[in-house]
Amino acid sequence: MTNLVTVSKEQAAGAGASIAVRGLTKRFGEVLAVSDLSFDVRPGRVTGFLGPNGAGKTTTLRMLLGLVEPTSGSSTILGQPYPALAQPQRTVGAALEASSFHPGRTARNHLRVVARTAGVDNGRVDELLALVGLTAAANRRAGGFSMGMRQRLGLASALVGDPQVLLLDEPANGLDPEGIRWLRGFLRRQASEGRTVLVSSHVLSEVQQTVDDVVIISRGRLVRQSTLAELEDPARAGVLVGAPDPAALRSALDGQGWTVETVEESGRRLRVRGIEPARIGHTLFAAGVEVHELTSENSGLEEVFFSLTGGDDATGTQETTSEGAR
Amino acid sequence: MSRQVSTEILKIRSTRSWWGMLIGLVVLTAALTALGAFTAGVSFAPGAPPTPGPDDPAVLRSVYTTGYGMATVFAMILGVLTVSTEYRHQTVTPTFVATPQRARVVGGKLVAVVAFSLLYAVVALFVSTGFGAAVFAGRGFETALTEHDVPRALLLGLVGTAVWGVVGTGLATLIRNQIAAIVVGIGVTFILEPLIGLALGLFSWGADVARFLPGAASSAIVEISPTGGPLSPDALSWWAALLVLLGYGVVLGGFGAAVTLRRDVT
Repeated sequence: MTNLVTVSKEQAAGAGASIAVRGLTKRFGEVLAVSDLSFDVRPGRVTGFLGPNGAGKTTTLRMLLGLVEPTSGSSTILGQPYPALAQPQRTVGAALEASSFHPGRTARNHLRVVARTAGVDNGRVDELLALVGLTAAANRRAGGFSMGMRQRLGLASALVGDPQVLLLDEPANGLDPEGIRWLRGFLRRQASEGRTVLVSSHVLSEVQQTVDDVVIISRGRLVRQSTLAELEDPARAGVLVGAPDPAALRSALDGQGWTVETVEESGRRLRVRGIEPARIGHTLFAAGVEVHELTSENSGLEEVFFSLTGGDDATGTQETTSEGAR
Repeated sequence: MSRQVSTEILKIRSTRSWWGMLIGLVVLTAALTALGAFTAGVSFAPGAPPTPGPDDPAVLRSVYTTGYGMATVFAMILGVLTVSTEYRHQTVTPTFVATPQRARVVGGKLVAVVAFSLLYAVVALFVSTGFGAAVFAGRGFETALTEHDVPRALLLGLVGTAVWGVVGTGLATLIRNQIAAIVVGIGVTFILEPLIGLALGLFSWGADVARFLPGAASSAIVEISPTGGPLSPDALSWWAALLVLLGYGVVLGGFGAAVTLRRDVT
């Protein structure tokens, strides 16, 4: 009986999608948190769910999980609305808050509680503690955990039922660089095993090296759904050029008709957009200009992300750092 | 459903508060029982008439059900904690994600709270009857444990404690701040209700209302007054009081469940 329903819903949702969101809308009083949002998430890939703080990412995830009742619209996971799933924990693993545990409960006891609801035996608990690297802290109360340990415990809780779909809200928050690297490998591995992984973040550079696809929202609306590669815009990629002689540098570049921006007042550093470093280097060499710096900033991703989201989120994304370079 | 109940029981077992409260309950019950048992039938000043003695059925029931009065308070706090800790530590999100059928979560909590309330009541009543009977026997009085409706009072004490656990659970879904819920629960029963009772005493119809208040009903089921003395003639009979108390449990538990089922978890 449910089989027929499942098939028809899945087709309606778009072939191959494991998460399908259709016209999802949520109004909190006067505030329209999410507005007519539709997108698909595919299995076997890591999808970044991106947008500035307050864009509606968390509300969307909460609607996906049946925690918040949508004002209108619908969402399905593996063809069914979340509350209709027979074994939710074995289908979907979710980590929404970095710190969802009783501070007086040990890590092991916390996972035992989660395992008990899922009908999973306690052996799995020790497996998970090892998987996220918390074996040594298993009998410590979670209240004393660092942010990174909390994130790991949250991740372990999500994985209790060995789910096909992972929904993680800002999982990199509070992780140190080593933790972020671990998370990257972890998420890639989950996707390569055929799972669906949806990771939200307000910082593109944080997930840029992890995600295959992106769903970008701003002010509750979808502004872009594509693969990460499609999002890159070579025309907006920036190259930093530094030279001791500002006048020579300026005249050599101006003659080319390129987009050139001033980076430093002195004019000793300029940014050229949409031109490959090799071409810039060659041009300057031919003009006999001494070059001290030639740095590829990024592939235009940050710029695209900013223009899409209106750039009103300043935290962490405004500076184009070498981390953004690929 | 049984999985849900066992999850909720594990939640209570895996933190320290339940046995911390159990220890407090035993100590307080022992102390108050001793106070009641040693001061019954004693004259406090030369020539003054003695207080009602252990041959008075109300005094007997009052001493033996000291554990009931104490257990109701701790059961109510436990009920509050099972809900309020989920909101306070945001575990309500994973709880409802794991079990989107929220009615099952609420049902599991209520059953677990009732189970622990019964445990509290059994332990506390064991302490108050055992300790009380020992003191009376030591003072040369009849223990009369099977007379004057004492067995019925003890049995109803178990039921009454379970109801207070349910009341606490319901209260915490309405007042999600932990401290506020506990303060309201205890404050209404022990401070506000006696004051309301006094105020109602000014009116001819006052007693008809006062006997339906939760604290009055709670003590009427074991046939003693809220302050431990003999039952006032205005009080409800034990079975009517039991129905009233169950009514409070159903209303608060049901209202709490209904609110929990609808509210967005943000």
